[in-house]
Amino acid sequence: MQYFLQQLLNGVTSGAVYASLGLALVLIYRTTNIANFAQGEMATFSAFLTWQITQWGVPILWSILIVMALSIVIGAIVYAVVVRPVQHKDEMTIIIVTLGLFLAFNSATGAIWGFMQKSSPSPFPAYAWTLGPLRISAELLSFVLVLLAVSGGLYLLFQKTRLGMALRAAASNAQSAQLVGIPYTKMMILGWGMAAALGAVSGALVASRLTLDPNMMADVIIYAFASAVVGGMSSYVGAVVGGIVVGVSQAFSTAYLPGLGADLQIIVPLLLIVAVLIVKPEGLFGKTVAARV
Amino acid sequence: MKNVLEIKALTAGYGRISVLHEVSISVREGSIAVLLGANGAGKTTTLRAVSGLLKSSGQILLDGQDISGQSADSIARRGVAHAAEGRGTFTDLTVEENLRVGAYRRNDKAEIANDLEKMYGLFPRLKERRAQKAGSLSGGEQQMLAVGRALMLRPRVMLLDEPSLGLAPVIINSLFETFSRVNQELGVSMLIVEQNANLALQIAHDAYVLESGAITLSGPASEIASLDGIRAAYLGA
Amino acid sequence: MNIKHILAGLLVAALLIAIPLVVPGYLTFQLSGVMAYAVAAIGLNLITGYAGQISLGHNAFFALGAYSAAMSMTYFHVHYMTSVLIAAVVTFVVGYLSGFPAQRLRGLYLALITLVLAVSVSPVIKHFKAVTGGMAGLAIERPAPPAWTGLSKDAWIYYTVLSITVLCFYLARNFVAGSTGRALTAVRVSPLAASSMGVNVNGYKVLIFGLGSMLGGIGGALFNFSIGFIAPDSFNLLLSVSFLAAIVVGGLGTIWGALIAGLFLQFVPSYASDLSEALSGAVYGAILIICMFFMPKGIVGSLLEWMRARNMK
Repeated sequence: MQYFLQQLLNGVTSGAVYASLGLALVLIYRTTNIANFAQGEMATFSAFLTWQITQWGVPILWSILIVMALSIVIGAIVYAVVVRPVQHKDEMTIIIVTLGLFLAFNSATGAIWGFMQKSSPSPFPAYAWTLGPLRISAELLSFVLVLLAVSGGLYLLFQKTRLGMALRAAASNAQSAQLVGIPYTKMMILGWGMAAALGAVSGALVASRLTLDPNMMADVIIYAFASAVVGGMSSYVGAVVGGIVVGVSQAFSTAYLPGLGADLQIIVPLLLIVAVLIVKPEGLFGKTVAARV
Repeated sequence: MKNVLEIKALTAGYGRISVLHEVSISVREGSIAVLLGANGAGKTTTLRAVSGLLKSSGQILLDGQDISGQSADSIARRGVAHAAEGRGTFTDLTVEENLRVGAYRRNDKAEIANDLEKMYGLFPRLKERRAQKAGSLSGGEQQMLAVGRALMLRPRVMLLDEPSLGLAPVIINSLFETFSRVNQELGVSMLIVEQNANLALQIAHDAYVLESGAITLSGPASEIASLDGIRAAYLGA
Repeated sequence: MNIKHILAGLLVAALLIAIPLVVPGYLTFQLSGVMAYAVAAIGLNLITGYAGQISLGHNAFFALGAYSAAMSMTYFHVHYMTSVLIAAVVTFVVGYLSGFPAQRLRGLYLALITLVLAVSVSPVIKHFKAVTGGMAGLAIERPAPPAWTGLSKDAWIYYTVLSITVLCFYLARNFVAGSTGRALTAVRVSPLAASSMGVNVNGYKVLIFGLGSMLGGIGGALFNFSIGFIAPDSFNLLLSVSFLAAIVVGGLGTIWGALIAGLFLQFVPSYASDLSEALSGAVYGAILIICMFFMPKGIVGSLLEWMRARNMK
């Protein structure tokens, strides 16, 4: 039982990481209707920037905040230069452009900082509490707190503020949004900027767990998509739940299915997602969209 | 009476296809002008050019100021409310949110709340469905929502593109009655584009006829309505 | 088909046959690679270009074809031509079955499921390392020319690959011409309208996945011949992305675009790293993005449009 709970907690910790990136994906999707395959690589870039700034003597938490601000700018530039010209074109074009961005960012990170792994200082105290037989690390609590804060903040922004309503309107109908005076492009820039900042947070979380490496997000992005997809790509709660499901299923398959071997265990959560999609294509939390034909 | 909207020598098109040729239309303050024409005459293009969705050459004066060449959202902020063809409702937002977003650029919270109640008074059906997602509304209800949203802007002029399209006759009657009420009670100026000329001519003050991108007739609505050619072409008489 | 077409066809055939006899060996070797990629590219083009189903998992079928062909030669000592057949059958079956989940999903969700396929390849290969050789890979005996031909190894492989490639192009061409092609276009553009016209939309989707994957597998088997050694790292996600990029640059929904795709896949990665070792990925990415901006229909697609526009004047 204790083992089970410990694995559960481990799963939640890694799940929180996936969910954090998943939230960024959902954010971009809800504001611009685009699934950004490059989100992970942009997050990696931000994580390296953070490392760089700490190398110049700035404390880790400040570095993260600075990079979040810088990421907003990066996200805005990416939108304005690369995404905007193709944003209303067909799905294939958009997917390919984001894949191109994936390659470009991945390569740029490696070119600037090299492909050697670096260790990044952790923003979280290396403390752990014991609750009975369980070990609860400060890391876990911090992750969960960050996650709750972010998803709570996003929910409030989108559902309770005028700006959030404008963002939703812009995503729902670009033309009508302009016709009520919503500056469409500015909304899109805001969406991409915020998502990039969120990505920076996610990158910081990943970097604190693993060593810093240009390819570190390559696996995470897939799990992040898996998390987001469970939520139907448009639900923040869904992304969080999805992330936890993915993380926990991964932890359990590592713990309880050793016969599968290290390689195949990676696939178990993904198969889970495939199963979800086949049974409920719009995601567990997604709404069945009745499209008018 | 001055013109709230003046379109002078408007020329516009899509790519290499020219649709409008030197179109001139005036909407007097506090009045309803109707733009008639067959399919493909360029009526929708005219409205899109005015609201900034389409590039055009010529002058578009709102209260005497040239707005041509500005972006659609800044034209909207200046007070042009365009209820585009196809309703353009925000299907993912609730009915109430659709109305509220119409007042996006306004800051007078108390007045916005007042206007919201006024809209519910005009359109009781919308009040019933205020918390529903707009995508679940019927065609007629979505049209009412589009009009309501446009009114929430407190626009200087409202552009309505074929509001009767796809609606049952009973609903159309009630809709046009509402237009008339809004114009008389609230003094909202309107430019209505319609194929269904009957009702439009009944509530309008001025009428224009667009054929193949050019204005062929213009004048007081009652005069235009009585012309034989119009009766035959648009009124089925 | 008039005399001009026949003469042009003969000229092209003559050129193709003459190539290994006049160009240096390594170029012949590379051209075999181009053809292997091209065959796989037609497969992806069928799935994505013609039927509109986004697939990021084509690397899986390329790998499946390569490994099943390689393993059948290594463990069952089959003839290399038979190995191609085996690869074709295996990948058709797996592809056909994979098509079933695809029926219910569109666009993004489909892309994500195929992404799962794409990243599963390496782990699965490594897991069964007893038979696949794991990380170390499998060596393949490249087809040897019979003595009476007097040809070099590269030339013989070139001709073998060429003949299979021509066959595949021919079959694909016939498949998409005529009513099947129109049905596919209908499925891609508007599945609802297509099904209301009696087109068995789901049936087509599944069939296309089978056929497209089969061509991917054949391409993989041909790839064996030209390279002689396969390892999991050759079949990663980047390969899938490259396939997609290549057919887009070549031209979605065109058969000849696959040939350009083959050239792209063989030469661009090394060109990109020549340009800048570290930034090769960025160059690759830039090519993708720039292509989408200025040539969304790809090279062949844009050419066809230009020709059509000329004819209209």
